[in-house]
Amino acid sequence: MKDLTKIEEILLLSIWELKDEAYGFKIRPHVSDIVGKDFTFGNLYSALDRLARKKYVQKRPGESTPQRRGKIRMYYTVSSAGIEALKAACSMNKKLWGKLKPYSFETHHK
Amino acid sequence: MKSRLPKFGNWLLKLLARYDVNPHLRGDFDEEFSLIYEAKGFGRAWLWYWTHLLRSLPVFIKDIFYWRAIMIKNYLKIALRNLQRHKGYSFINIAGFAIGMACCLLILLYVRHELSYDRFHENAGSIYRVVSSMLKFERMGSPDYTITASPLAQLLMEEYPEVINAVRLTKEPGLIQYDQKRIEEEKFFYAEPTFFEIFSFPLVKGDPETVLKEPFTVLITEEISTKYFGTEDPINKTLRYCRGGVINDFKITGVLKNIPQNSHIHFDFLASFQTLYSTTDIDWNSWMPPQCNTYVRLREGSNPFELEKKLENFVLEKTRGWYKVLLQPLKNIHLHSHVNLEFEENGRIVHIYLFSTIGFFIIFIACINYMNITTARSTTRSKEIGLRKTIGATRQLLIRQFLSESILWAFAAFGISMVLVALVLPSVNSLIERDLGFHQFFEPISLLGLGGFVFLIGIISGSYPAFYLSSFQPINTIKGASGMGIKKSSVLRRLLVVIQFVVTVFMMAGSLVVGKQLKYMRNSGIQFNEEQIITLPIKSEELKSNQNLLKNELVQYPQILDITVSSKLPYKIDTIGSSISREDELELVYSCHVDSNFFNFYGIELLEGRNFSEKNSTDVAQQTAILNSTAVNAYEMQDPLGRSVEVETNMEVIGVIEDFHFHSFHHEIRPLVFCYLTNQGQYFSIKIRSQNMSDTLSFIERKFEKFSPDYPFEYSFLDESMENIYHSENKLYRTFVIFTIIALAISCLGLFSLTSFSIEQRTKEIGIRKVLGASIPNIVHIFSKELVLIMIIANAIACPIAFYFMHKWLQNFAYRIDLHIWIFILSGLGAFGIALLTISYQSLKAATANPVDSLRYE
Repeated sequence: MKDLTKIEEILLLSIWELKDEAYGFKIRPHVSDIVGKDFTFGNLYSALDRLARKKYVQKRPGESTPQRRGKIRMYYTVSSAGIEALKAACSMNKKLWGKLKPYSFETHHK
Repeated sequence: MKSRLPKFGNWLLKLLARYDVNPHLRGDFDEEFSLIYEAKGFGRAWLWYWTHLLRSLPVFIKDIFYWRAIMIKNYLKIALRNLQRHKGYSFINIAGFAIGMACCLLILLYVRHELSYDRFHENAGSIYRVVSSMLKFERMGSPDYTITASPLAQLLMEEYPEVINAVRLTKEPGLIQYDQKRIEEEKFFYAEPTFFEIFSFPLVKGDPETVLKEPFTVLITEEISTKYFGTEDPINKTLRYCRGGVINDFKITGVLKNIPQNSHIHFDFLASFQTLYSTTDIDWNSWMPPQCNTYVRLREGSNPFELEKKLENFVLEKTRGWYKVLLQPLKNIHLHSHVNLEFEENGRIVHIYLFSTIGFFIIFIACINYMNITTARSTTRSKEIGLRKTIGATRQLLIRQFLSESILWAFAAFGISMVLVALVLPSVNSLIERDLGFHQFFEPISLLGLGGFVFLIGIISGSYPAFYLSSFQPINTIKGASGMGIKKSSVLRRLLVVIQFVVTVFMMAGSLVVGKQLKYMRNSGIQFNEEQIITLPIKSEELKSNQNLLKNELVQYPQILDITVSSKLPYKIDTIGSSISREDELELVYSCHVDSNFFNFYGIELLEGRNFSEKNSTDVAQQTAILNSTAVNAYEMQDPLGRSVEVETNMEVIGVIEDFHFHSFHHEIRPLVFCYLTNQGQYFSIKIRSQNMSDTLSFIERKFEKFSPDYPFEYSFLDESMENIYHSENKLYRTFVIFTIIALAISCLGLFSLTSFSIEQRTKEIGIRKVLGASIPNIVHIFSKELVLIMIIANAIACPIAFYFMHKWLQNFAYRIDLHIWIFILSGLGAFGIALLTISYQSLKAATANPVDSLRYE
């Protein structure tokens, strides 16, 4: 199992969090919010395609609305392999951040 | 609802955003677009859409490459497996491609080299050569000469503001002496100091501002410096220069970098022009005759045609109506200028066109081969295609697969062709007498261009197979109905073979015509028997005055059969200057001084009158002339004998000789006057026996050195020198023949693999036919009848085209062969024969095979 990149990690968590709402139009603002800048559809689908290739996400075709002019919504869900990857990322993050006290940055900056 | 996405944007999305994988991406775009549209209006939505799309573009494009690379890896794997499985066909495919590309690369190198002439000068665009156009030379072939009047340069600079600079230049070969070395140097030039303000020939040593200012100073090239001085510093050393009995010492003031090959002028020595004022008795202020070459540099943006017009009357007045001057752009000299007295033989723009066309044809034939072989072998791939389609490959994906395969082959062939080019480049260079180098390819732009070229070749040759193969119906292919598409495609395949052979037959007819014309020219000149004729130039003054003594001594030697002395050699009489006056009008004629033995020696028949004789006092006093019959006709002399003609002095016509080709076949035979030779001899012509030639030659050398100790002994064989007049045609011919053979070979390679494939396909059929009693000729007939049809059509198309172009080419010659129908029949039959030979091996093998084996097959 390969390590997740930061953006893959964010995406997976977003998809997991959005649950039934996880399709392109909804994921994009969610991720944009987290990274703090406008995350384009281009970047979004580039990363989603790679996640799909690694089988961390599953695709489920959904319904269409008039606004989508005939194109269906493609819903993404995190697969079991994706969850394993997230767990691994989480434990790594804990090791990485766990020994650090929240205030230590501030003392350092002064 | 007006929330429509911009059309162009949609198209862009479809093109770039992996639409086949993520069609819902557009839905997301639409959803957000309509959301913004409802909240903030169309303008804002439109703006959002475009900025968003543009920001996404980089990652879209990156992804295209990322995902395609994964698929291409698979395509390559399959392609390589196919290569291993069908080694023979793959070899033919790649070999055809590689040979074709190697030809193209060589032609590309040649064309680039030819087009680069004289472009290295900083001001190349504004430099012009002044050439004079003689007005009274109509009968003399080209009226243009590279030389002009010597005072012109100075006047141009002073009187015409658009002329920044002008330089006079002249070539005066001489004998150079230094230490023990005595070498005849051809490329000895004189130039004015302004030379370096016009041309950009870099100096290694010396200051370009001052080097040519002093008289008796000379510049030499690096090559000459090593030739005479080795590693020593040549600056301030002295070289002795002899010409026409005059000996001068020149001080070396600078060293020039070797002259690049792509210059229309090559000099080894460049001496100061001023020197000539004191070493020659030419009047450098006279306007007639023209004396030296003149080059001018014009101000940026000035119009050379206007200057030409302004100069016309001025020069006509100065030269009393003898000539006007024209301006030739420096960059055009190498490919467009073929006037009299060129420094070197220039290239021809038609050759550039010709070879570019040949290159195109050859690569085209190679592409057709690829198309043919790939489509013919489609059955072996049909299962793969069916399977790919069944598991979801779209037609587009399959097209992409076959295109990437052909591009892969194109690049592989390109690699091989580079090796081929590297191998043959030295022999090509010696054939075309150029110094083409590989280094031209290793510039970023060239590499990019070549990459693009190879890519394009891959696309073109892969296009038809890709569309054809991808159209297979999976159900048919998997069911094994492999013969399905083959009938349909074979019409097109035959058509492609027809095109190949049209090109091949055209080239064969072309080389036959060129070869025949060359043979005709060779055989129509002066004929000799089996004896060898050698010619010796007379250069030293001593020898000139003692030529009769040498002649008498040489004649004693038993191996020497005959000797004659003349001012020119009979295959190249190019002195004009004499004039025949007729009704107060001056007419120019070619002239030559000969001794009394000349006509007899060269077998030129005297039609009327008598020959020169050393016993006749008027002959010796040069008061008599012999004309060729063209001259007699041109000047309308009904009864030429005894008439007087004005040739330098007043002369009496004593004889008329038959016409012979005294210059190249490009020109008609022109009026020619012979005068008796006293001491104007320039050449000895010596007829020697072919036995013990080296003894004879060393005897002549000993005698020669006695009379001309300073000059190295040089001689040439007349037949070789005569060949050299048609040097450029010979060169063209040889190159053309080679390309024809290559085109034929590639076509046959294709034909070979097509036949072997079709035989492979029909093994069973042949077996059954044989069982039922078909004879070997029957079987061979099956495979060759199609070829007969193809060849008939190809000939029908190729012959008229070849006729048209060869007819045009022959117009270059004043004396030419007739275009007989049999030339075309021969080339058609030749191509047919070779094609038949190509397929006969395989069809015979198939026909003689034991039907038991072929029926057991599969």
